[in-house]
Amino acid sequence: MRSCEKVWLVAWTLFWLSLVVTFLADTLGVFETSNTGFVEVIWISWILLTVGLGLATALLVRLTAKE
Amino acid sequence: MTSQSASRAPTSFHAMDIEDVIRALGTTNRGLSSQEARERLEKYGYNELMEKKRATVLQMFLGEFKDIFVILLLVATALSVAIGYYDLLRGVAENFLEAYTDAITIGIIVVLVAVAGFIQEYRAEKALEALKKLAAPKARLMRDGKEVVVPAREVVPGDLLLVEAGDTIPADARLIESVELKVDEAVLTGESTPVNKSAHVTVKTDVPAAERSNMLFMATHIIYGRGKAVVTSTGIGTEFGRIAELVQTAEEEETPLQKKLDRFAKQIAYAVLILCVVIFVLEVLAEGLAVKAFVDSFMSSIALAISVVPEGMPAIVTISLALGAREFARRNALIRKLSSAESLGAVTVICSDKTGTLTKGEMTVRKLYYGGKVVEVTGVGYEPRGEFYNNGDPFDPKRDESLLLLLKIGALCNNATLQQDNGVWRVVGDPTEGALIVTASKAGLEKTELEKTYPRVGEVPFTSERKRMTSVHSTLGGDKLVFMKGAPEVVLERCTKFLENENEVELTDAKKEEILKVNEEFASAALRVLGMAFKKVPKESEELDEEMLENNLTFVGLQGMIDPPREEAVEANKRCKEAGIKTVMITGDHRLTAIAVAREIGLMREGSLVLTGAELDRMNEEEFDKVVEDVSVYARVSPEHKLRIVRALKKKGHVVAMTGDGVNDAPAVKSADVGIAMGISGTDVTREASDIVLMDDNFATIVRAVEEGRIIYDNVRKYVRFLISCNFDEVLVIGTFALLAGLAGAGGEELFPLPLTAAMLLWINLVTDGAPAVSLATDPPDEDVMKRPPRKPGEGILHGMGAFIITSFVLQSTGTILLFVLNYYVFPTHPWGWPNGPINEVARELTLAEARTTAFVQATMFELFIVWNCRSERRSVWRMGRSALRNKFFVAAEVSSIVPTLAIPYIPVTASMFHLVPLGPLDLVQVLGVASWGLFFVLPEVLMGRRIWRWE
Repeated sequence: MRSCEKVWLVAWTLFWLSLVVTFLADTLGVFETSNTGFVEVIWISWILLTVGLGLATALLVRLTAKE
Repeated sequence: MTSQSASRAPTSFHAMDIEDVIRALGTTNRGLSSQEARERLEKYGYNELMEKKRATVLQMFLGEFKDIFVILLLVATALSVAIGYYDLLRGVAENFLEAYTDAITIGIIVVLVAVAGFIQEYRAEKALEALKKLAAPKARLMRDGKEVVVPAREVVPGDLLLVEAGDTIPADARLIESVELKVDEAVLTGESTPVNKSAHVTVKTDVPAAERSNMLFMATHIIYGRGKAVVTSTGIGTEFGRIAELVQTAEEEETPLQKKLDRFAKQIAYAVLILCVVIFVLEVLAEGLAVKAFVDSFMSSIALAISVVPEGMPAIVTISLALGAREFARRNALIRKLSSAESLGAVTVICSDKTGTLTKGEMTVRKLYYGGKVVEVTGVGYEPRGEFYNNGDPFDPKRDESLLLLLKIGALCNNATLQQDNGVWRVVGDPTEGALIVTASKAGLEKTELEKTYPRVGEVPFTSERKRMTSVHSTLGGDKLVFMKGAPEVVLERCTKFLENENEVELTDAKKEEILKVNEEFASAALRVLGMAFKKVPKESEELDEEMLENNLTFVGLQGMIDPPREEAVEANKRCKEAGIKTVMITGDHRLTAIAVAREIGLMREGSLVLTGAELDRMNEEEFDKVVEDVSVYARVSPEHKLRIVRALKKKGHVVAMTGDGVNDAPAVKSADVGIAMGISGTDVTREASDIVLMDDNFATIVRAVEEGRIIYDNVRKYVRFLISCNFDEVLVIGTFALLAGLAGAGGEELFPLPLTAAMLLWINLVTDGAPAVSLATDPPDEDVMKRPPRKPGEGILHGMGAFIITSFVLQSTGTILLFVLNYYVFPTHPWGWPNGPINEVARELTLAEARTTAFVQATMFELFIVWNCRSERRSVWRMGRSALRNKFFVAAEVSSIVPTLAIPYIPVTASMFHLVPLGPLDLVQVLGVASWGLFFVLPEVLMGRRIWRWE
C-alpha cells in the first residue's frame, strides 16, 4: 500500500469513528445533565472537526503521493 | 450532385484493334459531334461516381434527435409540460412561468444539444464540398473536329480524349495514339512507379486492369508524353467506379464512444425505469390510494427520474467533440464525423499507406557514385535544399568537377522541369528526372541556366526497350557534348572509358564489375539507380547519328534515388511508440523499397515481420490471425488485402486507423475504426469513405490528431466521473425517504418528506451542474497524455472510477441526509411535535423548508466542490496548484454557479419558487463544512485507477 493510501485510510477511519462518537455523545447525553434534548453545538463542532481532518488529509496525500 | 451514373456495358476494348474500338464506340477521328455528345450524356448520364444521396439540411438537423439521450430529454420535456399543466390546473403553480420552468429549461437544453451537433457536422460537410469544387477536373476533347475543354463530368463514351503530361484522366479510355506515354496509376494500383502506355500493343482479354497497357484509367495521372484515346466507359462503369462501389458496400460501424454512450444510456434508462416504478409505488403507499395521491406520486417519481438522466451528457460530448474539431482544424485535420475525433484517441494501430503519407511521394537522390567514391545527399522531396557528404563529412560540391559533371548530365539529359508554385516545389514530367534536376540545384546548378550555356541540339529519346536517353548540347567553343543517362548496365555497355580524378581512363572489366557492384548495393538499399556518361564531339565532326553518339562514351557515375520518408514521419512514429501505438505500413510498392523506408522511419522492430500480398494470399485466416500483430510492413498488396488486414486487426481487439490517398485504400479506410484520407493527394472516393481528412497529407498531423482525440476522451471521462459521482446520491436520499414513507403507510409523507423537491433536483442537475461540466470540455490535458498506452478497446467509459464514485456517493448521501435529519428532526427551528406530540403543521412546514434548504445548498455546493477533483486522473486540486486556475472558463463557470446557488434562498422570488428560506451563519457553517468533504476526501491520487469491479 502506498503512503498516500495509508494516510487516506487512517483519515477515512477517523472520519466514521468520530461520527459514531458524536452520535453516541449526543444521544447518550454525555454533555448534558439529562438526556432531554439535542445539542446543536456538538454537531457543529464535529463538522468543523471533519473539515480540519479533511484539510490535513488532503495536504498529507499531496505530500506523499507520487506520479 | 447527381444520382445518375454513367457507364457502358463492359466490353474488352483493350483486346480490340483501334479501328474496331472506334467503330464499336461510334466515333471518328474528328471526335463526336456536339449533338451526339448531348444525346449520349442523356443516355449514359454524367461522368460521376454514384454517391449516396446526401442528407438535406433538415434531415441532418433531425438526425441529431435520434440520439437516445436527446430522445430521453424530449420525453422529459413532454412530461415536464404535463407536470406544469397539472400544477396550473391544481393551482400549485400561480403563473405560466412557474408552471413551465422545468419544461422550458429542459427544452432549451435539447435544442442547444441538437444545434451544436448539427452546426459542426454541417460545417464539416460544407468544407468538404468546397474542397471537391476546388478539385473539379476538366477534360480536353475533340468534338466537331475541334479541340475543346469541357468539365470532366460531361465526358461521354465515344469522346476523343487528348492527354499530355500533367493531365488527370477523366474516364476510362482506349489509346489510339501515344508518344512516350507514362502514367502514374498509384491511385488505382498503389504502384508508385509510372507505367508505360502504348496505343499499339495487344493485350489479352482476361488480363487485370493494371496490365492493360493500351488503356487509360479514370483518376490516374499522365507523367510523361502525350496521347489520344477514345473514352470507353464513364462514371460508375470505370475501374475507379468499380472500386468506389466496393467502398459503398463496405460496412460502417459505430465509434467506441458511441457504443459506450449508447450502452451507458441504456443502463441508465433501465435504472430510471425501475426507479420510477419503485418510487411511484412507495409514494402511493405513503399518500393513500386516492386519485390526487396517485397523480402526485407519478409526478414526483418522474421528476426524480428526470433528475437522474444525465441531461448534460450529449451536450458535453458534442461540445467536447466540437471544440476538438476546431482544434483538429487548427492542426490541419478536417473532421467529417464528429464522434471519430474521440475514436482517434483510442487508436492502437495506424495502418498507413506509404506513398504520399509516410513519404512525400517525391523521388529524391540519396546517393551518388563517381570517381570510385560514394557521396550522400541530404534533403527530402523536390525542395532544392540539401548538403553533400563524403564519409560523413559535408563538403562543397562546387569544388568537385567530376561531381559537377555528373549532376550536369542529370540535369541536362532531362525533359522534366522544376517549378515553384506558392512556395511549393513541384516537378512537371517524370519524377525520376525531377529528382536529378533537384540534386543539381542543391549544388547550385540550375537547369535553366545550364541550358543557356549548353543548349540542346539533339536528342535520342528514352524508350523502355533502349533503357537510355541521350542528348546533344553545343558549347561556347563550338564543340558538342553528348550526355547519356539510363540503366547502369546499359550505359556501361556503351562506355569505353571511366572518369577518375577528372581524367578519362580506360574502363576495364574490373572497373565495370566494381561499378555494377556499387549499383547492386544501391539497389539493395531500395534505390532506383541511373548511370551517367558523356563524350565530347569536336565541332568539325559532321556525323551525329545514333550509332556515333551512343558509343565510346566515358562513364561518369551513378545517381541512386528513392521516395524517402517525410522528415516529420520519423518524429511522428517516435511519438506513436511512446504513446503505445503501432504503425503498420501498407503499400503496393516492392518489398525491398517498403523495408528500406520502414527501417528509416523506425517501423521495424525486433521480431517485426514483412508480408507481401502473395504471401498473404497463401495464408488462411487462422494462420494470418497468428501473425497479424507482428507484421510491420505489407508490400505489394491490393485493396482486398488491405481490408483483410484491417479486419484481422479489429478481430484481435485493436482500434484501427487506416490512412490513405488512393482509391485503392478507400474500402479499408471505410472499414477501419477511424478512416483518414489525404486532403491534397486523396481522391474524392477516399475522402467520402473517411472520417477525418488530413489537409496537409502529413503523417505527423495524424499523431497530433491522436493527441487531440485523447484529450477529448479524457475530458469526456472527467465529465462522466463528475456526473456519476454526483447524480446518484440524490436517488439514495430520495429513495430512502420514499421507502420510509411507504413503510410508514398513510401519513408517512409528513413524517418522512422528501429532502429535495423536484424543482431543487432540476436546479441541481440542469443549472448548477451545467456550466462547470461544460467547461471541463475546455480543460487543458494531463501532461502524460501521449506518454501512456492507449486505453484498452474494451474498457468502459467508467473504467477505474469505481472507488472515486463510491466514496463521493457515500459522502454526499451521508451529508445530505445528515443535514436534513439534524435540521428537521434533531434540532428543528420550529418544534413541530416530533417524535411524540401532535403535529403542528405550520411549524412542520417552516422547519421542513429550512431543512430542505440546508440539504439543497449542501448537495449543490458538494458538486461544485468535488468537480475540482474531477479534472485529472492523477491529481487532486491540492496537487494541481496554480494550474487549477488556468482554465478561465472553468473558474468563471464555478463562480457563476456558486453565486446564484448561495443567493437564491435570499431572493424572495426565487426563494418562494423553490420553497427555500434564508440561511443563518450557523446553517452556512454546517452546509459549507459538509460540502467541503468532496474537496478533502474524494482524492483521485488515492481513488482513481483502483480495481473495484470490472466495468466493461
